Amino acid sequence: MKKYLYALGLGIKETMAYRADFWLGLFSAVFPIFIQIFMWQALYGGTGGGELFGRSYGQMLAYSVAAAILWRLLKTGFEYDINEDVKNGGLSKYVVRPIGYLPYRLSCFLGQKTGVLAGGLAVLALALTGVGLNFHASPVSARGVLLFLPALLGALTLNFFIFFCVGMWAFWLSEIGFLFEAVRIVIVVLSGGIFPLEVFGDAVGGVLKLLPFSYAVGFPVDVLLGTVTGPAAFTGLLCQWGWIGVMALCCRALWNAGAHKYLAAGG
Amino acid sequence: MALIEVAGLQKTFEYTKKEEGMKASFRSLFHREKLYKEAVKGIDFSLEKGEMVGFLGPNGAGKTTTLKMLSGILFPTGGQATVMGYVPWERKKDFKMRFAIVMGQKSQLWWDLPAVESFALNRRIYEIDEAAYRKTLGELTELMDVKDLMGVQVRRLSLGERMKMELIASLLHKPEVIFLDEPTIGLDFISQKRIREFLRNYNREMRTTVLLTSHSIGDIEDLCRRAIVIADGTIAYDGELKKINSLFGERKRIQVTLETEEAAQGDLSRFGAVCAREGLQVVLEIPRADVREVSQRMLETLPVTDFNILDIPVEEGIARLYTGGNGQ
Repeated sequence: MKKYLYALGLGIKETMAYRADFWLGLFSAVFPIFIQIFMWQALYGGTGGGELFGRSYGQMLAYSVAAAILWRLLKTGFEYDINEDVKNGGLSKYVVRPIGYLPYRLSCFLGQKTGVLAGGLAVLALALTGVGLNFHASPVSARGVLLFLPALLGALTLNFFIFFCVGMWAFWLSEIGFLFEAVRIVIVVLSGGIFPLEVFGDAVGGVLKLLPFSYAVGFPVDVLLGTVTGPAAFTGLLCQWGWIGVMALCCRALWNAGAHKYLAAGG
Repeated sequence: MALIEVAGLQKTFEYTKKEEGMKASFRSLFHREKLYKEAVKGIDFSLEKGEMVGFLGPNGAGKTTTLKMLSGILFPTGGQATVMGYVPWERKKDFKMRFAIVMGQKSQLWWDLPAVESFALNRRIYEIDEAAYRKTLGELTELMDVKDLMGVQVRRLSLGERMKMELIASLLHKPEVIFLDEPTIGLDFISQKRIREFLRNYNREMRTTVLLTSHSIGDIEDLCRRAIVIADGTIAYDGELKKINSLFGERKRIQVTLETEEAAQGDLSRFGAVCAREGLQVVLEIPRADVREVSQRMLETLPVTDFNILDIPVEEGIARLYTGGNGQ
């Protein structure tokens, strides 16, 4: 266990070293948020102060801002490292040592995110306060924040397993840099990272909510903003951990199958 | 029972043929021809505890592939192997705790961290207690003379410095079996010598079993009594290093320096096969049994100023094995 705690520490150190990268990443969220504000302004303009997709203008803006920030906080990047390890034989050093590759990567990821979350959650709080002041109503309740914390931990873990599965493709496909980006864009939409899944209509939105992705962004944001409360929130948390279990099993299966494909190139 | 046992070990790689040109690239989108390369073709050998064996062969002969199978990195296509009683590719934790592999061309250190951080991570990975770790690390850094470099980011180290760190990282947990894949590649003469000395002492003190590949014949001659030569995926020789040449018949070389250029350039085939001629110096190869008689004749009939009887260098015997000659 100590080795994984040490890896967690390495992850934290790494974030410190690359903190500029993190702030720039967060800053890059500003522009898309403005586009969304103008888009929703235009759409809500026609409703005469009414609701769209079951949300008021203020709620929709709070969702967009929170989802954009949260998606960046949860963002992975280790799938590129996995690809690198598999292609160039770097994986060998983990295979010959008594350390699990997945738990090692998970520890590093959680370590990196510990540093990122501290700063990122402060930004999220500020942004939502800004939205609240604009609409003279706080979009977030104390109960929402309380439920949000376990949902956030679940989202972080779920996102890790989803992208670890994606990274495992490196065993079978040789040029997958572009693929990662394409998959990321699809997943951000499917997870509700850009707008709430209700936007897709009852049928498609309903199906999307059955997939694991919505539990990575849409669900924690809805919990934070109080759109999902009470028993629904608890069921959601259970589903989230259920999906984490399923994705972990997928990771394991892909890892076992991929191990036979590994060529350990170089050297 | 031997510590390492390999029986009928095979590895075939599958790859797709890629032809040159745009048209071929386009065609490969729809159809790819699968090809197979037999890297290791059913090899057998065994090592006893404490042995230090040279594993030789030309590029692409299957040395590294074999080492990777013995470390559990690659799964074999066929055959069996056990190392300390474990099947390597089952990747059992107990097995991993007791062996190490060092690859000269593939770093196992964390590139962005100082070496000391990699060592500390290894300490946790191998569950080494703090006191033992401090002691071993102190000894190893002393021996390798790298105490001042511990805090330097690995990517900033020179090749030789990095190699020493690689060795330290792989020895911290005191492995019983070590696979060394070209540990002295790219090192200067002094570093090579130091690493050799270190390995020899380590092997003697710890009774570690070592399988070593190297293109430096100096490494092998210095460290290994026994050599296994692999060529084109099969074992071409397994035995005492010094006796490799006996495969090619019992032969000796006579190196003479003659007084005049005329004598040196003249026909000397009546004494034996001329294998080199440079200025006044000539080297002849003859059957061992004839040494006495030929020497006598040469000294009597030629204007000799210097005379030496030599063994055929081991690397020549190895080179013949590489190219497929079996000396029969």
